[in-house]
Parts: sequence; C-alpha cells; structure tokens
Amino acid sequence: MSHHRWKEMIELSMFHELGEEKERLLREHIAGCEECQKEESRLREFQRMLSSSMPDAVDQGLLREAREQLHRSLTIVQGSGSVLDRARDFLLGGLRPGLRLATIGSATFIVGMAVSYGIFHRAAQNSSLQDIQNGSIIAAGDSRISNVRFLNADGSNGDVEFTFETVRPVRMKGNIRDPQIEKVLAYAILNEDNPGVRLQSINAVAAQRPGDNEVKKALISALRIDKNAGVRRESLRALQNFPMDNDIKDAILYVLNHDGNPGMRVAAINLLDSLRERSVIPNKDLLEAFEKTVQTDQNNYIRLRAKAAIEEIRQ
Amino acid sequence: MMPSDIELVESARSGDVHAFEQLVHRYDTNVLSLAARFGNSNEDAKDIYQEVFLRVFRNLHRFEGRSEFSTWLYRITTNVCLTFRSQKRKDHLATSEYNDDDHRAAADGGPMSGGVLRPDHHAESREISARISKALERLSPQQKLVFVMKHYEGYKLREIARLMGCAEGTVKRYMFAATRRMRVHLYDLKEILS
Repeated sequence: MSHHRWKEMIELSMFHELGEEKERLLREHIAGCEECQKEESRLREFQRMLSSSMPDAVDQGLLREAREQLHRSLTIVQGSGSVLDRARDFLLGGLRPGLRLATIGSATFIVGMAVSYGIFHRAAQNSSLQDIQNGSIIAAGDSRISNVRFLNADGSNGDVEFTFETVRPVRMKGNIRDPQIEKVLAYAILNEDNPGVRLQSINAVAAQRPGDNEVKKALISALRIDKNAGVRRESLRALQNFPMDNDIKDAILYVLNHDGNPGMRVAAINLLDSLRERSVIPNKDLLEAFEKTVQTDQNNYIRLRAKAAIEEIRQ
Repeated sequence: MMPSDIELVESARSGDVHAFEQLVHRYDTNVLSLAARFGNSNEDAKDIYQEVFLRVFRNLHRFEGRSEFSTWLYRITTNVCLTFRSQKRKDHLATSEYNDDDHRAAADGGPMSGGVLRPDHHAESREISARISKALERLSPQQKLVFVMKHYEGYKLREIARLMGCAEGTVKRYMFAATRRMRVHLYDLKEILS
C-alpha cells in the first residue's frame, strides 16, 4: 500500500473512522515507518491548531436575531388569512422561497395599484404601472365587493342607493427577466414601504442576473440611500451580478466612505479587495478611497483592512 | 408532555406558525452553528438560517416522515449551504478558482487579511481564526462543508454522506482534499502558535 493511502488512513484514524482491523494494520505500519510517524505527528499538530481556534458556540444574540428575522418572514409568508394573503398563496405555489417572497412584494404592490384604479376609474399616475396593467402578463380576477354602506335602504319603490369598495385581485406571471416584471421589482426596491419586501425584490432580481438598466439604477439607489442596512447589503450583493461599470464602482466607493454601518463598510472593503485582485477597478481609485478610509473611518478593523489593502496595492 | 416532532409538523402544516417555531427552536442552534461556521459572517449565517427554515416551512407538506425530521432538516441545511456558497463564489476572486495554486495561496494572507473575523476575545486566537476563515474560503463548497461538519461539528462521515446525498467515499475524498489544502494554506501558523 502506498504512503498516500496510509496517510489517508491516519486521518481517518484520528477521527475514529477506521475499522478495528484497519486500525490494527495502520498501527503496525506506523510502528515501522518513520515517514508515517511524522505525518501522524504533523496531523495531530494541525488538529490542535484547529481546536485552539475552534469558533465559540452559537452566540445567543445572533440566535435571537436570526429567530426574530425568521419570525418576521414567517409572518409575511403566512399572512393573516385575508383575501390578499390567500391570493399570495395562490400566486406563490411553485416558486422557490426567495422568489416567492419577492413575488409577494410585487403582487401586494400591484393589487394596491389595481384597487386604486378600480375604485376611482382614473388613469394610474404611474406610467410604468399603466404599461404593466395593459400588458398580457397581468390577469385580473373577479372583483371583491366590500364595505357596502346604504345611503337609502328604502326598497318600497325598488330604488336603493349605496356605496361600496371593490378590490380586484391581480395575478402577475412571468419570467424574472421580463422587462415588465423587472420594472415592477425595480419600483418595489425603491418605493415599497416594507423593508422585507424591498429585500425580497432585490433577492429576486439578484438570483437571475437581470440585464435591465432600470434594475441596476434601483439597486444603486437602494445601496446609497435605503435606510435599512439589510437592504443596502443585499443591493451590494445583487450589484455584483452586473458587469462592473463606473456607476457601480462609485456606489461601492460611496458605501466605503459614507455608509454609517460598519458592517456595510466591511462588506464594501471586502468587495473592493476582491475587485482589486481581479484588476476590475483602477488602483488609483482604490488607493484614494482606502486612504480616505484610513484617515477618517472610526472603526479600527476597517482602518486596518484599508491599510493592508494599500500596502498590497503599492507592492 | 412535549409534543413530538411529527405532531408539531402536523400542526405547522395546518397553518400553526407557533408549532412551527417550536420545531425551529428545537433544532435551530445546530443549524445556526453550521451556518455560522460555513458562512463568512454573521450576516451569512442569518441568511442561511432564514433560507433553511423558510424552505422547510414551504415544503412541510413534502415531509413524509420516512426519516427523522432532524435528518430532513439537516439535509436541507447542507443543500442551502452548498447553494449559498456557490452563489457567493461569484464575489470571490481567487477563491473561485479551484486550481492547486496552493503555495501562492499560502504565501499571501497577512494577519488581518482574512474575511470577517469571528467573535473571539483573544487577539492571537482571532488572528488564527481569520487565517482559517480565509483558508476555508479557498476550498470548494463541498470540501468546505465536509471540513466544517467533520472538524467543527463532529459528524461521522456516513452521516455527512447521507446529508449530502453522496457516497461515503466521495465525502472522504472531499475531506482528504480539504485537509491537504488547509494544511498548505495554514502551514505558517505554527510560528504564530509558538
């Protein structure tokens, strides 16, 4: 048997993954093989080193955050059983979870617009949505009548007068690359009040590498101005699916030097570091941004990362 | 008496979110632990956690009870980790190349060159953790998952194989390759330790 094979057996032995017979054979071999003795010693040393830096058990704060985040998502997914929520369930049947969540946002938004349209019978103010409503990817369902209020309920002469509200469910179906779908998602990224929906819209477009410039612009805007750090973080990730250009570069540099959240700045510096190694961004621009970071950032870790990056660029 | 997993699954299927959360709380520490060690940051860990349990929630109707709920859950967790990692790979440059340029890889990476540092109270340990994180990033998703599950989570090889849906021999190959590469990447850490 080759030393290569014996060495693999040593590793298995350390994890008690060798059978009794193979363990015995290995011990016999090691007893007479200096190379394998050294290998076992080196492997044990490696294991000790890994053990010495064994990550702590799960941080309770992190666990709590994760649970809260999940709870919020479940609330969104599960809903309260309203017509809108049932419509959501209907819409989301066969989609992946990330896409489903994104579609919830879009569908909610579209239903809202349809309600306004149905009630007031006037042109939608947003031309993009008007385009979408006229498109073939939208199918209107039966209107639901609610909130009926009688103004005159005297039926003696057969005449009644009442007011009511109609809600017209709208189903939107199409590929994520469809320009109209992208338009809705771009709108949702920028305008949806619920950060969870904004996040889901971003995840949806990010998963499919959209080619739409409008989506890119929406992501850049969200990266720069969204008040929710999670949304900004996802925008940063999503933008990495687009070919690097000056707009995206500027947005990343803006995050590094202006974002108030240290996590975002770390994410930006990590990304810039990887882009530097791929020579995607000119070193001059990176140097300027990193030097500004070294001078102004209040976070020690970020300053150290920027310093290290500057040194690497200059080497 | 505590409801069984199956009872909670049944309740959750009928729309009882509280039952689902009870189920989550039974196992989520393990899921988050793997996610935290597999991901590069707390944000990654939370993303994986969220994706796992949303996927579980949406697919509860597909759970037929032929295996333990925990097995099904951990299988989903490994799938999410692998998918998550492969999506992230686009963002990482040299790490996206699975070549054997190990010596170059070992040569770079100064004390602060790692990814996001894991929380730790000791500077030295933190430095080592950062180096390990960076080295882990250079593994393929499968190698990394096997390495983390074996070294940090203590799974047996056959369990890993079952969860990843591949042969035990395949898992061994991932483990041998991962260990070999990690040793090359971290060869100089002995000096730090001494």
